[in-house]
Order: sequence, then structure tokens, then C-alpha cells
Amino acid sequence: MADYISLSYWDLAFGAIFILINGAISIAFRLGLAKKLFIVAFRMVVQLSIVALLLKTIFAISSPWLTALVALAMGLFAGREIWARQQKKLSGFWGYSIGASAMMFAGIFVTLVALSTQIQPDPWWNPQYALPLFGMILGNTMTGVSLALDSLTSTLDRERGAIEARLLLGKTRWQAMLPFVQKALRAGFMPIINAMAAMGIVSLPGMMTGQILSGVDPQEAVKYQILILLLIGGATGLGVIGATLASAYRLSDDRHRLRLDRLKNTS
Amino acid sequence: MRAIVDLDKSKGELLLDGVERQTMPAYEWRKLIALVPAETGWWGDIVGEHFEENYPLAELLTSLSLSKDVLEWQVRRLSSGERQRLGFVRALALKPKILLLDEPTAALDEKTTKQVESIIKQQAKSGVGIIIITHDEKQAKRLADKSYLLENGALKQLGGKKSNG
Repeated sequence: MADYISLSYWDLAFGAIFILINGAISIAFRLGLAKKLFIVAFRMVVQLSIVALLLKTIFAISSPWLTALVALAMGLFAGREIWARQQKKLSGFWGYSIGASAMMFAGIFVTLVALSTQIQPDPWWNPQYALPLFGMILGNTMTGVSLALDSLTSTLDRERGAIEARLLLGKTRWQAMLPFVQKALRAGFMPIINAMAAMGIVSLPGMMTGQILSGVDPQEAVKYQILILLLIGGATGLGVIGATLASAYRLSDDRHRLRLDRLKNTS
Repeated sequence: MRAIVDLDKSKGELLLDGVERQTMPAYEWRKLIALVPAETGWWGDIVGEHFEENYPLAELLTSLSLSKDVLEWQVRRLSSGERQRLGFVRALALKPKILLLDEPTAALDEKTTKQVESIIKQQAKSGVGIIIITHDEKQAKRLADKSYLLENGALKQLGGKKSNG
């Protein structure tokens, strides 16, 4: 990669000037954002620096177990994020585990397929490929799953009268919940559909621009990006369907009742 | 009433024509024992979406002072009385063996109350078992074979016109 331009720390410090300007604007207009802005900018620098160190170490050690462990930790954090983003959530253990496990199964499955058939790094679990790939798939699946579950639980809660009316007319729990399950699935699919639609026209994805900046032929970078988007689409679909159906199952029972009592009491 | 149709958890045994509730799926049970709650639920925008297509409704709608094209109306423009009557019609369309009615005429005026009551009587005559919750003592007298008064948490039998249950 001959035409890769390395950045110095002075370049970064110079880039921070724009944040300082934003802070000055915030103070001038009394937006109250200056402190927050500096803190998040500082946090961002610290977090990314630590990640750089971690990745460097993980790549150097290059152990399959360490790679798996890191992937697991990423999954657990993403699961927590799904949990935190839902206004109404299932109570207890289920609130965390349904979203997290659906996302992880989908993410791990798609990542493994991609590593073993399409990208084929050597060894196949090579963390330099496995972790960034898993991270991109996981992050997008997380967004889809959390939107779908948020839609499902809040809609079932709000439409209780309508669902019970359908149950009273002799419909099964799946028939009764179907319109609301469909709505949740649509909400979960929306971000990846929007992303694909805007791709290349409105947005140039970060991974592809990153590769181009580091000197990769745009055609090669685009090929990678297309594969990534297809993988993300696949994992999001699997995760969204799994999490939504499992949650709908949990929010009803075998006597075809709506079980909103299994939602966490938020009030 | 919600407990009878298995929408709320309940203990004990419940038999209909010798068949125990737990031996059949809840959705089959609810077709045999239809509950019309005081608040009817709606999921579509148009009234017609809430009715099975093959059930002859025209006569029933007219006898409840509902317009024939009510099925094309928007649900959110219905009055509470219209909702209540349509909810009642919707349950009749299941042809249940037992009808559970929770305040079936609470939102209705005198004329439509009479119309609903006459349909209730017809249903009872044709062999449908009917349980009604009402706050209107006169309505209980007009309709009931047996009536009970819930007072301070205790159920008391008031008797009725006839004593065959």
C-alpha cells in the first residue's frame, strides 16, 4: 500500500480545532453543550485509543480463544444496548436474553459462513478479519433487533383491546398478533433497507471510504462493501425475525392469552 | 367474564355440554362461549375489516338501526353506541352456544336498547345461553330468568320470572 498517508498526532490535534470552534459557538449562543461536547470528544479519543491498543495486542497474540472471547464481549455489550433502547421490555432475564441471543446467533452464523466460504482468511478465525466483520454485522443487527422489539412491545401494550378482540373472535394468538408482529418486523428491516437504498448515492460507507483512503482500488473496496451489506442484510433479517417471534411467544401463552403482565413495570 | 373465556387465568373446572375447557384449545372455546366486553376493540381502519365476509349481516344491522353501508365506514368515526352494537353483531356472527355480555346497552339510547334486548331474547329462545352484566335493575327484570346482585363483594340471588336455568 504505497499511497497510504500516515497521520501524525499533530494532525489530530489540529483537527480538534473544529471542536473548539463548536464549543465557542455553544458558549456564545448559551446552548449548554460545550462541556458535553468536550467530554464526548475526549471519551471518543480515549475509547478509540484503547481499542487500537487492544486490537494490536489481539492481532499479535492471534489466538482463536481470545478472538472468540472478544467477540463474546462485543455481543454482550450489544445485547445490553438492545435492552436499554426498549421503552417497554420483557421483565426479568427474558428482557435481555431474547434480543441478545437472537442477535448473537444471527451475527455469529453469518460471520462464520462469510469467513469460511467467501473471505477465507488464513487461519479462518484470523482476528484481523473476524473481529471487524463481526463488529459491523453485529452493530447493524443490534439496531434492527432493538427497533423491532421496541415496536413490538409498545404496540402490543397499546393495542391490547384490539388484540383481545381478535382473540375473543376465536383467533389463535399468532393470528391475533399478526398485524402487530408484521409492523415490528417492518420496523426492524427499515434501517438496512434505507441504508441499501441510499448506498453510493447519498452515502459512501465508512468501511469502503476507509479502504479507498488506505490505497485500495475502489473497485475492490466496493466489492468488499457489497459483500458486507449483503451479510448485514442477512444477519439483520435472521436476528429481527428470531427476536420478534420469540418475544411475541413470550408475551402470549398456550391458552392463547395476551400476557402483558410479563412486561416490566415501567411506571 | 374474562376468566370464563380464559382471557384471564382462573382456577377450577368449566364444562360446556360435558366438555372441559382445558381439553380444547382456547380459541375453539372462545367460539363456543363468546364474550362481548363493555369496551369493544378495533384493529383496522374500516368497519368491514372486522367482520367475516360470508355471514349475512344485512338484516341484523337494520334491526339494530345501523346503516347498511356501515361496513364501509371508518372505525374512528363511529359513535360509542355504534361500536357497542357492532361489537355485539360481531360476536353473534360466531354463532356461539353461550353469550357473555358485559353492559351490552350501556352506551345506547332507549330505542336501540330495546332492539338489542329483543335480539337477546331471540337468541335465548333459539337455545343460546346468555349471561349479562348490567347496572340497570329494570333491564335485569325484563330479560332474566335468574338474576344475582353483587353487593359489597357478595353475590345474592334475586330470583326471576322463571326458575329454569
